Amino acid sequence: NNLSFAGGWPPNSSPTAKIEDYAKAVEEYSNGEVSVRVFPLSLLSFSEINAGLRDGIADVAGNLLAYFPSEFPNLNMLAEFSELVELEEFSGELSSLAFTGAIMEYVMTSCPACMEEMSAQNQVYLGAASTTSYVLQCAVPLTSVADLEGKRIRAAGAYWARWAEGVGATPVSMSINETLEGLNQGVVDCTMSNTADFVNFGFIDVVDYVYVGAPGAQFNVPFTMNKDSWNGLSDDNKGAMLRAHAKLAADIAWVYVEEGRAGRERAPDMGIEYGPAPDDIVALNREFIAEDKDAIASIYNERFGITNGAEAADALTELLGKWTELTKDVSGGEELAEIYEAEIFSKVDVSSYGK
Amino acid sequence: MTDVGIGLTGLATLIALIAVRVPIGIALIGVSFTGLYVLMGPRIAWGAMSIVPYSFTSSWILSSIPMFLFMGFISYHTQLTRGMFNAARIWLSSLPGGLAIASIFGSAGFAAVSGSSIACSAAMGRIAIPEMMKYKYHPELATGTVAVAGTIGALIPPSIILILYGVIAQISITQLFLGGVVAGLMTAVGYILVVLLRVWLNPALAPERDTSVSLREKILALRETWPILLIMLGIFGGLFGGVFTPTEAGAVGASMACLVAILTRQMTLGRFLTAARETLMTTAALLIIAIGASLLTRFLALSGAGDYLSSGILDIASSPVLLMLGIVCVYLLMGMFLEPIGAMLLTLPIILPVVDAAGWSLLWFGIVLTKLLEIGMITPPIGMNVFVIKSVVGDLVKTSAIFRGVAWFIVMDLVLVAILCTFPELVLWLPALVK
Amino acid sequence: MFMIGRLLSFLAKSSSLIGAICVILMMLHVTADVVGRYVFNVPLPGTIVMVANYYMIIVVFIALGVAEEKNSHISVEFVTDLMPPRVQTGFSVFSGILTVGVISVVMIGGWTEAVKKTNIGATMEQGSQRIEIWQAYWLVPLGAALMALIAGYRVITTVTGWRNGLNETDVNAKFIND
Ligand code: NA
Ligand code: NA
Repeated sequence: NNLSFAGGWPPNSSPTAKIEDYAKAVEEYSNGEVSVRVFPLSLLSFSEINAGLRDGIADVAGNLLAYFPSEFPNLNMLAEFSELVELEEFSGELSSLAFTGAIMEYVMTSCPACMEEMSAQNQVYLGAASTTSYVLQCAVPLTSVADLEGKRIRAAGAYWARWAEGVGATPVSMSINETLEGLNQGVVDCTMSNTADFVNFGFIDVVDYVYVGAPGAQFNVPFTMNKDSWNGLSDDNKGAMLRAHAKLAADIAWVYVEEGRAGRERAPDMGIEYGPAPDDIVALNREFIAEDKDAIASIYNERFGITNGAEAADALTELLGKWTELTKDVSGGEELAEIYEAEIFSKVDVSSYGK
Repeated sequence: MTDVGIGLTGLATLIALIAVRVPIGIALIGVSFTGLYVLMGPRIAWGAMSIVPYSFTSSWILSSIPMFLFMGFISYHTQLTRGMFNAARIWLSSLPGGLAIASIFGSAGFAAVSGSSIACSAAMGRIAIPEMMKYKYHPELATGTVAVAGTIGALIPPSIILILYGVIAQISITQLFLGGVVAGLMTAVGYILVVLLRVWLNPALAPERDTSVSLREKILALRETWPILLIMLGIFGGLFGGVFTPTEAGAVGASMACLVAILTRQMTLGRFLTAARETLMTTAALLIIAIGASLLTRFLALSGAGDYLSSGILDIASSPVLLMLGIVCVYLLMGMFLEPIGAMLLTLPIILPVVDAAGWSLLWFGIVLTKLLEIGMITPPIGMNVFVIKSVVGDLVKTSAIFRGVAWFIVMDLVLVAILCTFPELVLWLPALVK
Repeated sequence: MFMIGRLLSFLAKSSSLIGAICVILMMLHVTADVVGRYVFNVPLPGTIVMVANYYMIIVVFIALGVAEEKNSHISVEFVTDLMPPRVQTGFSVFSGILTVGVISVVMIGGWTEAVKKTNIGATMEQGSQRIEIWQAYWLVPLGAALMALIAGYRVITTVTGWRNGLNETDVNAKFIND
């Protein structure tokens, strides 16, 4: 079996290097029976990946479901609950590792509606990875909540736009490639982006202030596979794929943590103030999240008729407690992969999953 | 047949179809569909056809193309450019080929507000070519100069190619932009030298020089330049003052052109609609080719023919000079057929590690690469900038004549590439200064 | 046959008017977004999604047939120009047939995708807004169909020598003389 992986990350980037490692792992775990060819960006762009996987142009990919609200309402709702990681008991540098574990466990064991969404798009869910938390990266200083009033802040998605509206700022939509110039020239005052994109998209060159702790939430990227390609594999090879995907989820989540760290270490030399957001902004953020959790459930109920939003939030909150404990001392991708494998991927029944 | 063999056969078929006058977009789409069908089967071929045309077109960044086109069409139809080119002609009248030189200056100015060389050619072509034709410039010189001067648009920031390269190579886009400024200005100077040389060798290419212009006339001529200067000022001011992004600049620029045209009492409903109709046709004619090139990129990626072509040449290289020559050849060859962003995405995974291993500066390479990709915009058989100019001049000048007019400038481009390769510090000093 | 040409020409003319209005609306919409954001701190919601999924799609696909009628799809003439007129006619018939075939493939591909997007009621999010985009997918098969019809009609009139009712004058060619 020869599979193609359509990477949405640029060649030469750390996530792409991890995808290459994953390709080697698949070959090793399957004793050479399955091989994966990686096409970074040249085969499908992120906006094409869903339809491309559905039609089999590629076999496996990181699929940004947020681009497809109507196709994946349940999975997108769960991803929006990543705001929960900013609550006091879960927050921290490694919160994305815990959320990655929590959402994978929930989706793969307790979300039949998610499986149906995947199946309707002719795909199988094979784990996910979350970026680090979104933080305020600004060209102007923010000393208190009052400073947020009227600031133009780039928002990458629905949660962040609601947040900006909620705190009295103006959410601005802008493609990620325009954001650097937008910040540099003052079209926007701040961007809400994760701490890895701080370096990857060059914001480190133009912002002077990074405030950690608000607005929070993370971008979650599921890895999905064409359903026919999946079912063309033997059970043993499906098992090998799952093991490799535990590694992929761990490696990508970990790469974002590492890139976030590198940015934080470089920031002081570049004269950037990089630290916690003002206390009243963090407090406001936690209040906002407590209310927004219910808002998400009702928005998805109103738009898509999903009735179990509140229960899903509770289940994720409970899982986050478990996963924060499991991942709090993790020091590398390999260690993390073993945890994901032991707790989630090894428990999947290969003979029935994704049939 | 091997996969690579299918890819290469596809490329050969593409050349043959284009040679017998099949519309380029149709040839690209047809070859890509058939190629994917043979290579991967009907499902994937049909999948690509159902996904790519929509996804490629529904692009916010690409929307600046029709908007910059519209701005140029409005400026032309309401004669906003007449005053500026009159002034440029008068000021540069003592130079041989003054109006052609003025159009290079104009393109360099436009480059500062346009991220792509196509938009730059389109806007300047609308403004400059009719004036040059009116003053009896040789059509080859007139069209060639503007087609080639558009490539300055991808070097002088903002630049879509440099932004993408910066993201892929993970180097600072600001630094790349600063490197692009120097390379862009050098390119402009180089093109001016070509115009001077050509007119010196063959004075019949341009109208006679006029040395009788007095300083008073020159000052008076400046009075009529305000409409374009006002628009330029609005765009520059708005961009650098943080009012709008480069993508939005097209639409705002078009709105400003409308307002100025109303102020000069040149705007009529007929002209407005004509400008919009021409924008429509030009955009469709360009985008269908870009869709085709995007499809071809997938076909080449899946067949491995792209990898095969570039790695083959790289294998032969045993010294840095040979390697650089190899890279130049790869990109000139790919540039003949592919759109630059597709060619870049296809090759960087192989080329970047090689460049890194050779110990070359990735910043410098980004600038040289952009220059090489932009040469592809003006080489036959698929030269997007040339096609833009062709769509401006209609039946009056043949595509082949524009390609002939461009040939001289390609020689200068190769000289510039050689200079940039020999003296990398030419690119690197300005970014180093700002760091 | 001539009347079919007039009908196709009328369809192209209507498409051209709709497309031209879209070009103007795109300009106004983006400008209003910029002014709203800069002056009033109130950007228009959904501008990016609207521009990409409506204006761009309409402008490009509705104009495919218009460009076909006016013969403004870009091709390279330098090889065929060296050949005798009869051979040139042969090539233009070949090219016309190929155009019909290829653009029909685009039409069918666009149609199948439009059906899928309609069934799911495809939307996109910008900020906290959700915008329906499935309607825009129908522009692809629609625009491709008009182009295929016009190209096919031209092949028939070229082969039979019947009078062709299309309006082939290129607006671009006129401006340079005035
Ligand atoms: Na530029
Ligand atoms: Na070319």
